[in-house]
Amino acid sequence: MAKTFTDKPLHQFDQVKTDNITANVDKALDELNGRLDSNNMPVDSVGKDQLKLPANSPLNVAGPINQFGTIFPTQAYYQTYTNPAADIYTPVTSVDLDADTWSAGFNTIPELDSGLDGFPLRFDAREGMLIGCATIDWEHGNNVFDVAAGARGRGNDWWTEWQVYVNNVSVARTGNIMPRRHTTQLPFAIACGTQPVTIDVRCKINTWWAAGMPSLDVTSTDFKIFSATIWCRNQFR
Amino acid sequence: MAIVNNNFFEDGDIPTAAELNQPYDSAATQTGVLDPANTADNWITIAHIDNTATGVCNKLFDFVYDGTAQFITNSTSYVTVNSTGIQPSECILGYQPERDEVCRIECSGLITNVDVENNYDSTAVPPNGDRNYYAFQLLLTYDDGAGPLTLVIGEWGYSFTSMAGGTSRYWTTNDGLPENTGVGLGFQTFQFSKMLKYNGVTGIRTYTKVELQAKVNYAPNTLKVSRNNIIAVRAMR
Repeated sequence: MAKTFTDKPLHQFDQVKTDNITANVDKALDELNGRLDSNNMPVDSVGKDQLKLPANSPLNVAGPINQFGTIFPTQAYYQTYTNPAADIYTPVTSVDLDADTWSAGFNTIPELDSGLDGFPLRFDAREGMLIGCATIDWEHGNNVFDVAAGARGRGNDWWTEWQVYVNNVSVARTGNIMPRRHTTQLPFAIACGTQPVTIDVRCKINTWWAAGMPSLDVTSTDFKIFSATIWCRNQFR
Repeated sequence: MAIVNNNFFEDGDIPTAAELNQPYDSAATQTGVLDPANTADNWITIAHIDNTATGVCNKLFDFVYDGTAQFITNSTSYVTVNSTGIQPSECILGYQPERDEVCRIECSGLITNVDVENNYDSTAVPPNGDRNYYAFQLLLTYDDGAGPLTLVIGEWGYSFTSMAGGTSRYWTTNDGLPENTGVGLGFQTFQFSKMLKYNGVTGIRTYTKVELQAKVNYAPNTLKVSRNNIIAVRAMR
């Protein structure tokens, strides 16, 4: 606390030593010259212009992935995203569920398309909170086909689930989403330390397989991703 | 650097009035231009942050329509959502971002009882189920001093039915006839968010507004939007 008192009080009719004058003034000026603290400064005195300007925090990812970051005095923002195709009706990646490699468990986006290897959001967090949101425009649509008794291909076992992982810990999930094209948003918030952080999204695909239908050699439509975005706010003040 | 200097006197010196007054005069001057050299580390507390509506670290802008009137469109090019007919879905910004600032934009709303043509899914020729799609975009209007310009912040899509889109969609016939379309998906929410970073020079660009726009991929399908909102968070410090 920057309080100070007269070091060598001077009294009426005292003989004044000059170095006492120096000492008394020095003590007060020492506080002014670098020791002013919370008790000296008026409340509501700090506005935008008193705080440091934001600083760019490039994340150095090339190719189809775009990433950027900005560090502010109280928070930092980071984003990774794949832009949609020029035509919003054209996917940026498709997975042939009958022929391509995918997992019955949770699949990361790079696992579905190695061209999107750089998609997970990686940055050095400061102790505080991570507050963010993933937005994925995707499709796992149904199809129809002929079986002996008529059309099939719709059911409770045809669904997709998305989750957000922070350093491999699930922090948000959608539950089962039935067949459709959907833009899904997953907000999340979790405490963090001063540590490297990796945030990614993963999906679980459950599709109906028309086993025993010899007339059909394909049973699923492609799983498609049209765009994906994760942004995160690291709040540390 | 607002450092106040003192005069140093030794025993036997005879200070002049000007020499005695100098540190006080200097203090009077320098306390008007205090800077970080004068303050101790970590002096700012939450009470020192200016708590006014102008915002210090973040500032919030919003558009909210929470009624039940419907915006109805069959347009195959983007049109601004306007559920009431008199107040388009626009979030007015009206500020000049500083270099490296980010603006976080979130949008959500409700699709009501869509009207879907019920046989196009089975069309044997392209674009087949692509007609099943509709899409939204967030459009930023800004001004660099030469009149308004626009920038697409992001585009996101949905499907009218549970059927898969795409020209490679598999379909078969039932006794030579096309199968029916998928299940119509009405009364579902839409939602998406993205960040926008300004890399230009401070004071050049003015963000005017962000608006929500929608379109369908096939005019016989009708999209209906009721409640919707746009939230923009300007992160500054």
